[in-house]
This record gives sequence, structure tokens and C-alpha cells, in this order.
Amino acid sequence: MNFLGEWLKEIIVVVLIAVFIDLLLPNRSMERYVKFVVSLLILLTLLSPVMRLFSSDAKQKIETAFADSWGNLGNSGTKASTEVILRQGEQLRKQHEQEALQWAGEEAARQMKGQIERETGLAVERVTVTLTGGKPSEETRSNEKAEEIGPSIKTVEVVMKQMGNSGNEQRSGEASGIKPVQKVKVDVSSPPEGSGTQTIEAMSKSETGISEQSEDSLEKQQVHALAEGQIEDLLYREWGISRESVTVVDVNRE
Amino acid sequence: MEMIQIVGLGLVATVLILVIKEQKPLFAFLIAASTGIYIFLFLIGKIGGIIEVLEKLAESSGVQMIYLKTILKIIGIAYIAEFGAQIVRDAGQESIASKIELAGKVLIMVLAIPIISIIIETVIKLLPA
Repeated sequence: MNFLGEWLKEIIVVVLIAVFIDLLLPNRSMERYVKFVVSLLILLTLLSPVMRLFSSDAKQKIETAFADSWGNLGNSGTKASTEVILRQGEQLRKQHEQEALQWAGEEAARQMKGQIERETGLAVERVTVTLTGGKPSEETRSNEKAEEIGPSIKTVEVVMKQMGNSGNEQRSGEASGIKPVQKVKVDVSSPPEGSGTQTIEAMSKSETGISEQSEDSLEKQQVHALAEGQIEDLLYREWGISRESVTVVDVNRE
Repeated sequence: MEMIQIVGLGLVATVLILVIKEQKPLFAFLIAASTGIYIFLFLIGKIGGIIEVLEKLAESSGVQMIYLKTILKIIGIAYIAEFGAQIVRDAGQESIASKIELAGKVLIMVLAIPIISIIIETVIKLLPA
């Protein structure tokens, strides 16, 4: 609704200005030409929602086009066009930087994953590395430092694969996916009499698993803490990443 | 009051030109041109006020300033071309006056080129490929 109101306001003002211009015109001979251009402008205003639909940077495109044609007229348009070019260059630079950061992050994540799997023998689902490219702040600090300090690693998220052998032996036969774990968790949260509404499979499991559940989860926690410590140690040793910025997510614990 | 000033200036200039035209047609032309320029300069302040109001209007309603700039450029080209053409026409050079008008029209059309190209681009995108 807000958007519609703004659009209407724009049209009304453009038409008003067009009428003013019509009155201001010196005489008849120019009128047809001026009316043509002004009507084109009104059409452009009417079409602006459609243009916004097709291209996100419609406004900038219009400005670029106008700056180009005014540059041809040989007046101050050249200044505007250089501004536009500079702005586009800045945008391109940012985009490139973003892409480079993303690529570096993916590469670092890939290497980290390989290292963790090799050194600790833990199965890693994926590693996500978030990089910060804090270039502008570095430039303000000092120039010689800016070359040393490239983009730095902000956070590392390590997602562990489900560890089938770390669970209890009873489930190991059937449980290879994530489902059994979820079911057991449901059993813990709900009292045994509540399990009457659940499936027969879950019921039979709850009877056998309920006694072991507490020590089972405790053991899993320990395993997780151990793995987390290992991974953090490794990342600190190899990459110099502080422990606070490493997050280890274990699917088993979810 | 301003209107009376302008009309008075115009009348005085006309009488002077009528008197001087027989002896020195060149001076008559100079008087006509300078009178025209004076009235034009006198009006520039007023036109500036109108443009200010238009700019405020556009700014408050969120119209892109580039539209207003285009319209103002058009009006400026129209005024200057008209003024020059009339002075030249007064001096009896009809053909040069029409060339000046032609130049004004062409420059106005040049301003329309980016608008036309954007509209055509949008319409082409609207059509199924």
C-alpha cells in the first residue's frame, strides 16, 4: 500500500511539473517537441514499477543512461558520468572481494575437514568457515599493517557426522540413520505411560532403553566433549584459531 | 510594478528603434537585442523562484531528481533557442533563425534518447522471449 501511494505521488508530481513547463514555454514552435519528451517522462514514471520488477538497479541504470547522453551534449554531464563509473567500479570491487573471501573460506573449510578427519579419525559432515575481510578498518589504521593482515577467520563451525559406533550396542544393528536417535529422545522426554500413543516399535525400545538412557547420554556427552577438545586443539595448533570461535555441532546430540 | 517597468522599457526601446532605423539600422538591431537580453535577465530571477518551488515539490514527493533535471534542461534549451532565433529574425535573417530553432529541437530530442531506450528495453523485456 505504501509503495502504491508513493507511485501515485510520483505520477501526480511529474504531471504537475509537466503542466508548469507547458505554461512556461516561450511559444508554439517548440511545444510539440517538449510535449513529446515530457510525455515520455510521464510514461517512464508510469512504467517504473514494471522496471523495478525486471531489474533491481533500475534507478542506477536510468542515471547512467542520462549521464551518458548528457556527456554527449558536452556540458557538466561528464562529471556525473565519471561519478557513475566510479560507483560501478566500487561495486565491482566489492563483489570481487566477496567472491574471493567466499572461495577462500570454502578452501580453508575443505582443508580443515581433511585435517580433522586425518588427525582425529572423527567423521566430519561439513566445516563452515566465516571470514571477515575488515579491509576498510585496516586501511584507516596503518598502511604497512594492511598488507600483513589479510582477511581473518571469524568463526569456524564443525558439524560432526552421526557416530554410529558411539551409541549403544542394542541400536547399532538397525540404527544407521538419524531416526532411532530421535525416537529415543522422545522416550526420555515423555514418561513411560505417555508412550502408549507411540508406535509399537518405539514402545519396545523404550522398555529396554530407558534404564540405559541416562548413562548413555552422559557417555555421549563425554565423547562429544572429547572430540570438541581434539578439534579445537587441532585448529588452534594448525590454524591459530582461538577456541571461542570454533563451534562443534554434533548431530547425535541434537 | 515590474510589469509596468518592462512595458515601459519595451515602449521606449521601440520608439528609439523607430527613430534610429532610417539612419542606422545596425544600432536599431543592437537596441532591440540589448532590450531583449535585459528583459530576459530580469525574468531569470522569477524563473529561478518557480524552479525552486518545483524542486521542493519533487524532493518532498520522492520524484527522481533526474526527471526534474531533464525537464529543466528542456525548458532551458527551448528558451535560449527561442530567444536567439527571435533576435536573429528581427535582424531579418529568417534562415538562420530557423536553423537555431532546428538546433534547439534536435537537442531536445537528444535528451529524449535515454528515456526512449529505457522504455523500449522495458517493453522488450515484457514480451515473452
